[in-house]
Amino acid sequence: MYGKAAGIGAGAGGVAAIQTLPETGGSPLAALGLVTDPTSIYFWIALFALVCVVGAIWRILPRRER
Amino acid sequence: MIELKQSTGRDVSPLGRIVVLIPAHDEEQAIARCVEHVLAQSRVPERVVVIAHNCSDGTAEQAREAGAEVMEVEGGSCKADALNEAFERLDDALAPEDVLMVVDADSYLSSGFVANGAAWLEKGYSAVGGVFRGRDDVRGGLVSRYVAFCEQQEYLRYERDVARKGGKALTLTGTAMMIRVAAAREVRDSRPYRRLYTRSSLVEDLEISVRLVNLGHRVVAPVACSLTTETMSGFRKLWKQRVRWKEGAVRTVMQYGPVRGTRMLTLMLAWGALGMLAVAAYFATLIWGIGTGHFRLYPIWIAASAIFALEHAVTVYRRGGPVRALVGATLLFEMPYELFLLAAHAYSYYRAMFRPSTEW
Repeated sequence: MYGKAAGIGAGAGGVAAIQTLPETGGSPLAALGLVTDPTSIYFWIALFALVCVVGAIWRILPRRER
Repeated sequence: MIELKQSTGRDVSPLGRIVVLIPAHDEEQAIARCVEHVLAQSRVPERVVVIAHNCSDGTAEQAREAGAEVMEVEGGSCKADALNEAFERLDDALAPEDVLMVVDADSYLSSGFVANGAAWLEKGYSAVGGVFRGRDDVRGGLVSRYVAFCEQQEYLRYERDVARKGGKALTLTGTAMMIRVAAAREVRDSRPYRRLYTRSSLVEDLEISVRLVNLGHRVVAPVACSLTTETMSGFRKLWKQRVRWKEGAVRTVMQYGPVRGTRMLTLMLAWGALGMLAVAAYFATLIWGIGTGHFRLYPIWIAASAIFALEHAVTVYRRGGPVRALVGATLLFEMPYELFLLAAHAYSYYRAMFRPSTEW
């Protein structure tokens, strides 16, 4: 309730943001290339979005509920 | 920074009586059903006390007719005042092994709540919180129904998250929680003004959870302790509720500092702040991309978006059914609601950072 659902939504936003960036050329390699330039705002958006994608995959995977 | 003396250890002693407190301010419409759900428990509490707090309607009569004791409390302005007054009046009659249970007047417990909660308390947990779902009783127009639907989706996902973490939660919800009297007294005695609940917090349930953990107690929110509560009937009420929750959480973190009980909360709040920046960046780049003619869709990122769509469906499917899952999968349906929450969160950060402290 303290931001997880909103974080996932924001992650989707981040992914969409990368999608619109000409610098990435839409290529994941190019997007990952931004990782080498931490002074770029795109690097941080890409990193955040990728972390959110990983988080979304983790939430999709089945796990025992107690 | 608030660092409290740690409690001596887990209390696994058998429980004594269970005393339910239901603070109610002009709740004549809901109070009878709330009391009925408490009395219909598989383990029936020994006492059920409705605190009729500054009531000007028929709350007290309705509560008595439903089978509860009524304690009339005048003065004070918030729920914390009512609960503190009730705890003070009842304190002499309570034993350390007894359990205090607080239930909101607009919340309805599932029939096994008390029995399950008691079992967790006997395992050595000092307090047990409920996991709530949004009730489907909203009357109103399309906007009200939209807000209620999305809030229900949000609560279903929260319930799933808590269940997957074995009941680990950052806060024990104020809608329904059980606490050993010994632990409650320890919390009260740890405060300079000797009150169970602080009135200086906008989120008294989160604050008491943080304090309990900070004192060395274990708390849990097992999914078997379920209940239903009202959903907001429109964006205005939702805004008020979420600003209070988030501003209260930020202020609690600022008050306590990075101590046991607030570290994970701090990380979650920081993550939420990053989310707000990402969304702002999204809209800025979207407008910029469209404006300069650079916007186009790339399959790889559409695939990434598909993962989010799947996440929105999977997380509500089991509890909400296929229709809710399909709606979640569209992403776009819930997006206005999620953006609204992010805006409320951004405003909450601003208030917590730049506005003087307020009381609930």
